[in-house]
Amino acid sequence: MRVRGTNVGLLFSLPYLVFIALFIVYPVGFALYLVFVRWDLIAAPQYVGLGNLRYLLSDAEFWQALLNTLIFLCVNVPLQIVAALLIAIALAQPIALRGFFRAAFFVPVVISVAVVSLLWQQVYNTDTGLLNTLIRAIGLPAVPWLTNPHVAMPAIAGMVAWKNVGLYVLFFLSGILSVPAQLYEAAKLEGASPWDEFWLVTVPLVRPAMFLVVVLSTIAGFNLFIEPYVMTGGGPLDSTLSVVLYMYKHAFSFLDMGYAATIGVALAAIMLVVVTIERRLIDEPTV
Amino acid sequence: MCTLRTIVKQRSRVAVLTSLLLAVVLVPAFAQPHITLTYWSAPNAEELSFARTMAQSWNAAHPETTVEVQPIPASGTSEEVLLAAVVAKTTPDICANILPSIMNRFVHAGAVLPLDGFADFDRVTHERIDAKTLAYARSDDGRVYQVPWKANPVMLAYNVDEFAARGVQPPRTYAQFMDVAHRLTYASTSGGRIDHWAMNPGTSVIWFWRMFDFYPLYAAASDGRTLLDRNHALADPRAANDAMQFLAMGFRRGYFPLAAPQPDLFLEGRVGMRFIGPWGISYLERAAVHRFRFGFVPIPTPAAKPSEFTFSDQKNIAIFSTTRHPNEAWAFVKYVTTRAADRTLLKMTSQIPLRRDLVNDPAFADYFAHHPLVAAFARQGAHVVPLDDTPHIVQILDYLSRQYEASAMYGIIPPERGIANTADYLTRIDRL
Repeated sequence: MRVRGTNVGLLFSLPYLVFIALFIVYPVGFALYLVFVRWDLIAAPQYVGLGNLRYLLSDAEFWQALLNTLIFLCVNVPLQIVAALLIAIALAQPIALRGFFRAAFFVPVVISVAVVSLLWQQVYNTDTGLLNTLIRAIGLPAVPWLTNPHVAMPAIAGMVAWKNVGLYVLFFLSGILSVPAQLYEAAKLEGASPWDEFWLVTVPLVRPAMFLVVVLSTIAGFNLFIEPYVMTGGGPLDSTLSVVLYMYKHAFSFLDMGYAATIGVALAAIMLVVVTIERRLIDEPTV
Repeated sequence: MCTLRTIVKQRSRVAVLTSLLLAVVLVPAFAQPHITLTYWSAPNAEELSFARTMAQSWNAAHPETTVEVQPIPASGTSEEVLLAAVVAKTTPDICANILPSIMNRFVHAGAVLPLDGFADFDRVTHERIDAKTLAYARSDDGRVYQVPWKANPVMLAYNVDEFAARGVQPPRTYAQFMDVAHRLTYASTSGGRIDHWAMNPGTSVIWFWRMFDFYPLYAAASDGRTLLDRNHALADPRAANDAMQFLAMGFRRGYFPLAAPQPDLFLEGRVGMRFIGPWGISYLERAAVHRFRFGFVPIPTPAAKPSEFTFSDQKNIAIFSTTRHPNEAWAFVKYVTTRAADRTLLKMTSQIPLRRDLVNDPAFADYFAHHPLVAAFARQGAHVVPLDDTPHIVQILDYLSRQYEASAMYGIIPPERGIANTADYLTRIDRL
């Protein structure tokens, strides 16, 4: 009877197991295999042992791409969290046109990344862009947003924050709206200021949403690709070359699948470490 | 009770049914099967239009073989699409946008048919192209897998009206270019910021851009050498240095804008010159917002001797081995490379067919007489340099692009350092 039950359970799980095998186990296994070969997709793969890994460790361009990605994360993740939290708090208040604003902040999320990138490429244009037109109008010099190696990646990070903030607002908003009103009333009775209410009531109770936002935006940040691909091609001077863009270049421009897979596996390992640290720091059990 | 009438009726029905059955079974066996060939063309409007015209006339004359034209699917580059199609075995029967330098990859993959296996190959190619062009089309294994089709020799386009207004002549040397550039770079409003420049070489680091700024300059400066020598080292470091220094000087002096990619500044009348192929003639006539006169001169050189050479930007035709109808595909390839087809190509796209002694061919004389701008490109077509046929060409141009960015655009390293780095990279490219 029990055996039969197990079989039925397995039968019901079968479609999912097949899915997992096809779309997760096989690709991951194949990527790990590719780490040890040189393969241009056309000729048969050549075994190269640890050659790809050795090259990765000495590849200055990879480390530059990783540094760029970390710079992106350092700007993008805090910017998104702070902006999303503040907007969510504002949108939780009984303000006029609240429904309109909630929808308006979400609109960029549903627009294609490529379209947004092309749009912002024009906004950031040094000579004719909207941003520099406004900057010049107030008497300040134009900023070479996408052509200055020190400015380009933060500029892209700002654009990505603008695009994605609506999604994270949604997470924070659901967290804020689920905080019992009695807690705020109790805090008020205890003499808490609005800052205390925010810091001692809102922030601890939206911690699960905070964890979700941090993890999702970190993973999205590590996967940065379309924006630099469309807006800068990784330049100037490799300053917007992300790890995924570098991986793409090796895979589809140079047809070096083995090294591209090595970069991918290394990126996955780095992401695992970073997300684990984030989890330790943020996802402490709430009272 | 069966009457005679009923029996006859039944037998008639059986006879009709049997005939129908036989017809269904036998007709397809004896009928000529209909053949469909897929023909991938470059996706720009002019070439697509040419491909459709050729397919239409072919289809009208060959009802048993239909050619369907498809633009090469959109992607970063046509080469990426073709390689992906080779891997997925979804290649078309024929493709007319093959960069010759990637052909060896296709050959090693067994993805393309050797065309010299066709009985009339020698006769057809000998009539159309010269020995030098055919030699470049030959693969490592000594066989020919591509029909040399057309070239887009890169020249220096200049805005005739702007040049007249500024009182300058088209430059032939680097020194003349810098003098002209100085006059063409200005602010159109008094006290305003610079909004007119001499030229805008590519500011993208994507590899293929270097084929349209650095490489034509190098080809001219080296008097017709390709980037690599037989040992896959930099063939002419001096010419490479000259070309890179020229570009660096233009950026450093502010003659070339260092802005993010934007609409075509030459088309807008905001730069006076640009490197362009013959396709630019119809493009400039069609797309210019404010009509202006333009002319073309050869690529400037460092020395006083005028340059003769430039980058060819050649594209060839190949038949993929996934085709089930090689003979019909070959027949169509011959059809799109006839003298008449080459005339149509020239008329519809302004691109230069790779035809022996084109400029003096009487069949084209009338056209060139009426289109002197295209004739200039046709003359230039006799002095072109292709890309090196190496599987590493994308990596090499990518690396060169990054050196170009660091040295020419941003001046982080001296131009000669950028070229030295490239030369060093060439020795390390087989890293594993």
